[in-house]
Amino acid sequence: MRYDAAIIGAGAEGLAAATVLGQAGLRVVVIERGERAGGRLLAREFHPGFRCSPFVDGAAAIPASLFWTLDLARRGAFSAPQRASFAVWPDRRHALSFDEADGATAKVLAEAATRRREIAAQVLEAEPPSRPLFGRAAGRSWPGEDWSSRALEEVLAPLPLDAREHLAALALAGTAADPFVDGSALHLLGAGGLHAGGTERLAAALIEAAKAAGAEFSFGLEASDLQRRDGRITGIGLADGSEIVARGVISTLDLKRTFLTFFAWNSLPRAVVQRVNAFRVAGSTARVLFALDRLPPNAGDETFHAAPSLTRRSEASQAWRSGILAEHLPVTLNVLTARDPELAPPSCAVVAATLSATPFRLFDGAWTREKREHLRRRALDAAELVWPGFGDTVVGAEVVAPPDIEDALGATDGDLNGGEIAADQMLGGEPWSAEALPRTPIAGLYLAGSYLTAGAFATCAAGAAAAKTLLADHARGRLR
Amino acid sequence: MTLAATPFHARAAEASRHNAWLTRNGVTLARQYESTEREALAARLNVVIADISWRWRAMFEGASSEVFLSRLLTRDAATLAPGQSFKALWLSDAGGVRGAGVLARFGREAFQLAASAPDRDWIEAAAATMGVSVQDVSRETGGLAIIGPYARKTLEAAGIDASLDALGFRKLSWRGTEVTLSRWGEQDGYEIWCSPDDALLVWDRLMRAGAPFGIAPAGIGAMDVLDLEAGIARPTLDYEPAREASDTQPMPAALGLDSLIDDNHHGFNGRASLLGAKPSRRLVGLEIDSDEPAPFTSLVSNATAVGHTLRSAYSPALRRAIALAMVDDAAAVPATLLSLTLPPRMAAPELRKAAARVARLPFLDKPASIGT
Amino acid sequence: MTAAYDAIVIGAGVNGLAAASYLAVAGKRVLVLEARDVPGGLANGARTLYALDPRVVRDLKLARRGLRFAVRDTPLVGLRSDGRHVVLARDNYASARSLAVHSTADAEAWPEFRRERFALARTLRPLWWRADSRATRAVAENARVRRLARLGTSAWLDTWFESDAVKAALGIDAHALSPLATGSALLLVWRAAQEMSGLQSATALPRSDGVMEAFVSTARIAGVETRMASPVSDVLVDRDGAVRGVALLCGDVVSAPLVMSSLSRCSSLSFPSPLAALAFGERAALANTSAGVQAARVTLTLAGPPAITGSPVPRSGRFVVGERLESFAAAHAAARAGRLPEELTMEVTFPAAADPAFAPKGRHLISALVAPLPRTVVGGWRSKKPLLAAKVVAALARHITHLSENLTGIDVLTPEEVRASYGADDAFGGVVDVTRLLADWRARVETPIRGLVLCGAAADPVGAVSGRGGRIAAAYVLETEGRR
Repeated sequence: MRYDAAIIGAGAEGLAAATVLGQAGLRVVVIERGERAGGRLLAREFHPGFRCSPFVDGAAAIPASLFWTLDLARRGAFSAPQRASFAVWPDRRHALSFDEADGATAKVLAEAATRRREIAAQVLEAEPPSRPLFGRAAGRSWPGEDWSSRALEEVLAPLPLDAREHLAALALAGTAADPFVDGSALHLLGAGGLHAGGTERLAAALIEAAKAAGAEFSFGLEASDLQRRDGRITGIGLADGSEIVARGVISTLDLKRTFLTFFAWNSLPRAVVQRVNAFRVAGSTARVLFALDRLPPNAGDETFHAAPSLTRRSEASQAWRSGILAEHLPVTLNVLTARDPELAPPSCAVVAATLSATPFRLFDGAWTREKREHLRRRALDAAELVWPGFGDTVVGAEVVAPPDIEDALGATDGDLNGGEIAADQMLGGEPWSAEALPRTPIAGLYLAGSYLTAGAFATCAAGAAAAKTLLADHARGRLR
Repeated sequence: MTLAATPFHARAAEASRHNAWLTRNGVTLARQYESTEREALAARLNVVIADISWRWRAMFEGASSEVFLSRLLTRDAATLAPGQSFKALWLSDAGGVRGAGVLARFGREAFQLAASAPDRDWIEAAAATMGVSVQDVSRETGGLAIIGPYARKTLEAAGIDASLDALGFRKLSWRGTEVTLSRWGEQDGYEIWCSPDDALLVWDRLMRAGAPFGIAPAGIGAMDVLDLEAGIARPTLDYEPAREASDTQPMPAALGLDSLIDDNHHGFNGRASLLGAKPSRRLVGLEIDSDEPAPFTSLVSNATAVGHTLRSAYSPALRRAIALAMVDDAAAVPATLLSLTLPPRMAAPELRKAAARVARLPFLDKPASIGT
Repeated sequence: MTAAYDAIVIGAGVNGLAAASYLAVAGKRVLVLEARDVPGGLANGARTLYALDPRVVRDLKLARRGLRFAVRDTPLVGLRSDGRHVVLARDNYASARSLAVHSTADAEAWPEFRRERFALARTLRPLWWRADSRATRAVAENARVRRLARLGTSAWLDTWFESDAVKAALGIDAHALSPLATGSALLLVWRAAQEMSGLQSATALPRSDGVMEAFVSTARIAGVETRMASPVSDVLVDRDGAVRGVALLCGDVVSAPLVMSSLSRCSSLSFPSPLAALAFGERAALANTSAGVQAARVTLTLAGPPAITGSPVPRSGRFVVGERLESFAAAHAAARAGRLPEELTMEVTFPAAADPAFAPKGRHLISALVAPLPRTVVGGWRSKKPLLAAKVVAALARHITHLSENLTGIDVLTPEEVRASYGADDAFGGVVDVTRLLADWRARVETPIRGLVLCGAAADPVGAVSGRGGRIAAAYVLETEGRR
């Protein structure tokens, strides 16, 4: 089958790319190795009668302009900003209301929001090839630049102590970054992100948008290799031996996986191999999903951070670097049924715990049951702190460790961001010497992994940017 | 000084985070409890309750009430059986829209007309000419709207049988409390009407039943946003209705309301002037390229004025400001690009222009309840 | 009333004397005030100085006043616990041979890395060494520099090398920041800039090589007046917010329209009058400033010459103790938490090896600069001093045979004591970060108080005993005056 473009991965980025390409009149196919589209947004049953996404509780804000292009509101997906967040310690609580924050807290949140918007705008307006994405043109900086070299603790220093701990926990949830080290302030760009009302709703809207734009889908078969001739992409080979002819390919897999999966080492230029090797991934998220037979008291759609502590997080970060499971892994909890009551039977609830600083590779070997039990215990302790008596209401639980994330989503090292969030890798930090992202040194191959083009802070932006680049090349006849 | 409060005021006051109130039809209501945006989105994602006690309700009783109402409204009251309702307009002598509302037949000789804006004096005078008495019953009952995907589930969890057709209504005894359940609203939700003494009890029961679905109270601001997103233009609130007998504007067709006129109904006030009249401007929706609303401002296309906006607000669902507008026929084609000037603000006192694109109404589908 | 002097310099360290000399040579009447009895500041505590600014050496003709360099081309030696030490010297091939023991790939990569590093240093040097704003702009627009400014030391070195040996050795030059911190790679370039200065990593020994004598006599000959034992209690500011002189602790008042301070920015602005004259935002920023990396200075005295186990190493050099780059990261983390690091990272020199005349008869010295360390440690530095000493000895005993037996004395100056003795807040004149490394030179020197100028380590991108701060501050003063 002959197409103008093929997209690997039917997650949010792939669906957004498919929609943009389809709306421009290209023949597009989306290749997904799973049975359904939606990627990490899909809910799965983890206990009879209880469902949720094993990987994420929500999605970072979709930029407003993309929201329009994809016409998501009319497809039933709404961006509902989170109301509040709580930090709970044994002796006290701190509430952060995003609408009503005041003083230094409000200032930081507002700055983060402004920068996020500006970054998304820059990502989406970038017109390849004459104007590369960031930083290479004379003096053009990107809106997060000054935060990229500062420590999170330093940026939050003007806030009162509890607010500081709280906001740091919010920004670093799921990551292994050390809040005291310069560069960690970059994570603030992801803080307070918007959540659609339930991730499945967003997935459904994106799928509808892609279909309405004419995109076709291929399910159940993994893309196994990329065919090239004369250095240009000519198509994709699927796992069953069949082939899809397409001159342009957008890969939504992360950088390492794209290159390690689809190319033999010796067929790539040495510079590419080196760069791919040097690219850092930081898989650090683990999840524990709880099925409850009762609603936790006073739980709306707020996020709960269990006893956040900057020093503990720094210790956990150190331990993570050495492949050790820290004693006090930071835990964040969300009552998912508050946003989507359909996830559990009536009067029941689903609570998801997100653990940070969980190494993909443990220094002392494999992920044994004991290690998973450690994660479960940790999450349970955190939940007990927030809701005393929580343990008695649990009827089922499932642990999702970084290797599980890698298996399920194809994310290298279980890194949900597709790469370490660091100034030299994100946005302006291009891993290629001469190319501007989303292009790669392989003609016809474009990357839409969320790490490179602000995707960690703006869902669908990476996919849309890759699609626009492909379109521009297509218009110039470069994709024959 | 007295505060004209609705029967739900005590609960509204407790739930109000910012002490943000407004008055509508003479009663004090919460403009927002927390944030209009959040409440409007909650109506689309979960379920909300909103105090609608401010809506004007008038009772018509007596043998001649059916005849009078048929003369008043653009649909024939005789077609209603007790327990049924319809939406209709009433016009000035010259065919201009004076009001719009829902007529419900309570009994053989008892009707209730409910509308967002009162038109007391004129209707009373008209009714008097036919020997019909009108009673304003707005303060006699309190009303709560339940809107959102989980509206029906909330009612069922509260112990109410929620099977009801659109525009239907029925009285029922709800765990010892006499209430009326209706579906007269514009958002495909439900309404519960109760006596003022039972109001707080009704509020509490609904909030408790809706807790698993994330229920929250929504203020007038959110309700107005939902109405705007549904493309509804309300007399007095959104546009100037006809006031004089000779007012031909606004024309029902211009507001897109001719669906509320029954072509087979001949005897209503103002019909003669309607026939053959064609409006020069039409009601359209506008998507504004800005987060700031632009109400009652002129619209320009290629340096010519082609219309003006009516009500405008930020739509959190669409993530853009939207507006209802009256524009010339030529410009009323969807996707036409127009330009308007945003109102100046303290932080931005200079004149700023924004683009606006004509959109089909409604902007969004209603937050229909699951299971209805 | 005319001012008594054209300029007052607080601090008779290398930077203060350099600044004073430059101004005096330009015809100004300068007074230098020193709180201690002797000049020299941090230079007194240092055993070796390898960061002297070559232009200062040249402009002030220090060589004529007695400055001598003991060693040129000081090599960097990474001491490894397995004895396979890494020697990184000016000679590319010798360094590569040394690296090949650990990894042939690293040996191959070394010359290219060095080339790249020095190319970057050449690009950045104008920003750091010249008092010239065009340099700032040119550097800010340079793509390679911008890219480097986003890299951490470990991220950058990981793209070049695979063995811990070379990365750990290089890590000592970037220890002002954690190797994980964004932009810390710039510190390696800074070091390279110093190495290529023409002095090529020359080492001067303060006491024996007349460093301080050179500076002091240069200043005197230029006409600078110096007063010892005259601590300053306040920098006086007039109602318009401009400097008008200083007040001494003893009660004297000296008037001048310009005050150059060798102290850190924080200390300089914390005198009562300048502090009162600061705007609210500036005050808050000052209150939020944290101190930079802290260091301890440890001197061990041995009965006989120290013998280093393992592969042969040059007799003089900078010896790095630190197994991996992560050791530095862990040390930074421990320092932040107020704890002694488990594994100490330090830079060690053997002064006598450079100049046998340096060590008095029968006494051989080992000098160690231990960094990073916490500013305040749980339990207090006084109580931790013995532990620190023991850890230093233990760390060095791994590399030096019979250390414990030969040890005749150990003198530890904890960070607290360094601060108390020399009046410096920390090892580098303030927090080092990307902002400071790439800032316009004027931003490092100016303060919100008109007439109060920083001329010490704070005026340098990475503060050190160099004299550059004084040179750049003096250039600022003369340039601003010229424009008026």
